[in-house]
Amino acid sequence: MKKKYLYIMFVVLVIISIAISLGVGTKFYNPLEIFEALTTTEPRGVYNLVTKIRIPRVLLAAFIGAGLAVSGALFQCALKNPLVSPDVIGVNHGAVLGASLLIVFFPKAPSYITFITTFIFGMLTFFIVYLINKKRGFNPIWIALSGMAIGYLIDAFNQVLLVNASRQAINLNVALAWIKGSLYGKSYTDLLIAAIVITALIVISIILAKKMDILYLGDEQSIALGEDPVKFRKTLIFIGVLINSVAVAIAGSIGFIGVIAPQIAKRLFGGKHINIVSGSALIGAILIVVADALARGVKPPIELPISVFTAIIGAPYFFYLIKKEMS
Amino acid sequence: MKQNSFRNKKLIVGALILLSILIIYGNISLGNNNYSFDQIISAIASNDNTNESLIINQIRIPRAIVGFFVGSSLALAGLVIQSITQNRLTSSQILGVNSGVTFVSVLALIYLPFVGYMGRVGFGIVAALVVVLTVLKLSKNSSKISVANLPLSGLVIGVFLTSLTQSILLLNEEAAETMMFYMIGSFVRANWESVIVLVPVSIVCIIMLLILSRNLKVIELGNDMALSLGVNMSKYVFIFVVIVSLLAGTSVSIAGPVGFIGIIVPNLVRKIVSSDYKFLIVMTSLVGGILASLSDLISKFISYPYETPVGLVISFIGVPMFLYVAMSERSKR
Repeated sequence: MKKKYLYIMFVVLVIISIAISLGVGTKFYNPLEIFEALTTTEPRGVYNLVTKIRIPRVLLAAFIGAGLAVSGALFQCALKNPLVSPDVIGVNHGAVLGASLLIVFFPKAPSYITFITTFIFGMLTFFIVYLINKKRGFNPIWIALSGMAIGYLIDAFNQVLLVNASRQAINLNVALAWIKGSLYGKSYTDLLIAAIVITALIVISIILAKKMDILYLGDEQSIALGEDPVKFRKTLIFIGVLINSVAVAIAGSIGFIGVIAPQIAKRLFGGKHINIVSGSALIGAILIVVADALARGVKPPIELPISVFTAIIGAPYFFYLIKKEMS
Repeated sequence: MKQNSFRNKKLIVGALILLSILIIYGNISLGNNNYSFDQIISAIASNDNTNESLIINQIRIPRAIVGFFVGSSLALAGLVIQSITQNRLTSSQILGVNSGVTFVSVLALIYLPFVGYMGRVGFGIVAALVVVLTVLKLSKNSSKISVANLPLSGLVIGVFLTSLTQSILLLNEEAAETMMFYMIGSFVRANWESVIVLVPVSIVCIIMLLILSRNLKVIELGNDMALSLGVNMSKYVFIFVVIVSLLAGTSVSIAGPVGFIGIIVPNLVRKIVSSDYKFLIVMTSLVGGILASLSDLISKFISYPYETPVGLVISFIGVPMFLYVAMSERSKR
């Protein structure tokens, strides 16, 4: 009963944050003005601005945030590690490298190729981190540390690529937006793709939540209950990387949401995976909508990368998680 | 036998000094334009206003010197930090000191422009001191649990500070070149002013470390050892913290957050040198200088005639080595 209210409260919070975020930008409108503009019959300036630019962007932010958070929750369950997420262990960075390579060498590639490339590069990065840690067991802190190091290396590659590419007439801004994450100039097509794919994958994750609870009990219990833990882990990682690559292909690399949202959800909604998954989707959505609003609203018309704000919010919490993991 | 090993050490140090001079010469002579030995000598001798002599005297020579000493200082800072935290996986970069210095330099650059170059270096040193002391406090109870805790916490602090730096730069619409400098680090901005600050600081620090080398060793071996020798180490720990802050604060203020030298060089040198700390200190400073200079030289030719930021070149060598060191540290425990 109590949990129901908590969910309602968070859904309301998502709506409030979206409503406020719609008003943020070069000119601030309060939610009432926006509502008024949307309900008038004759399209005016505010109406156009809100419907053409801000609505797709803010809704996209919510879906991307939900996706990144759920993808982190799947990783944390599969690796039984509260300190991992696609961005911490370098999968995001790998996906972005794939996207940058595509921009530099095949600038005319259609967008579905971008999805495939980010997915392949994300998977490859995961395997590298996996292989590094395989021989010595999967200690949470070591996985996070080696993943972050791999992320640094991939970023260095990426920057060299971009520094060189910027001298040819290649759209450097697009590539840079990927590295730091941006929701600038997103269309309804992007929104539609993200909404369908991410919602579908979140639903699948919620369906798998019971099995995730069993997996979390330990391998022996899983086997006793007739599950194949190794295979299921692979499934979770596969879905996690898939959600992540859709998010990266559309909005670039956005850090820390994937790692902190599931932990906040676990704390607020309890340890069952159905709650972790759905709770982190809500929390991830709120966090990114807020971060995006800050990125646009701090000093308009300058727009900051979202990652700057997710790091300013997320890094201290992640730091706290590390301290907790240690004791 | 002892005599013999002493001579070997002298030989190695001599060879490395020779190599350093060669690479520094290479950095002065090679680049967008190449200059012969005679051209360099006559440019130094005449010091006139011709293009060639201006490039050699005002750009190439200070840059080559700064590159070497930044590498040397960061490597030494790494060595000292590794000793006082008793953790081979740390360095000024890994613990977030470099990001802290960069953050404060940027703050000073934008909000306190009147403090000037020297003022920014001063702020950088103070920032380094604050971060090192904070991190040491954090590490006090964590180092016994896992060697990976401290570096992981440090990296996260680093990401946080870097994000703040980046947002300040972006909000003030700094040029892409300034962004690149404060994000990756490079020796391109070196001038004689930086040489005048950096070289004395790093030489004084090396001498101090050589004088205090025995204490450094005792600290690294641990508290029990220090107690049994009856030495109060906390006073010396503070001196070493100041030395680290001077080294890291100055070099990061001058060259930006150049990474990975501080962690890999001491680990490399320790593969050859074990217990002689004086030799360890000299070797670390030479190898650090050589690595940075060499990377600078390489950075000029990766996509000739354009330059690649030197921090990236060092990352390519540095990250795989960091992972190697991390994994071998892990197997040890």
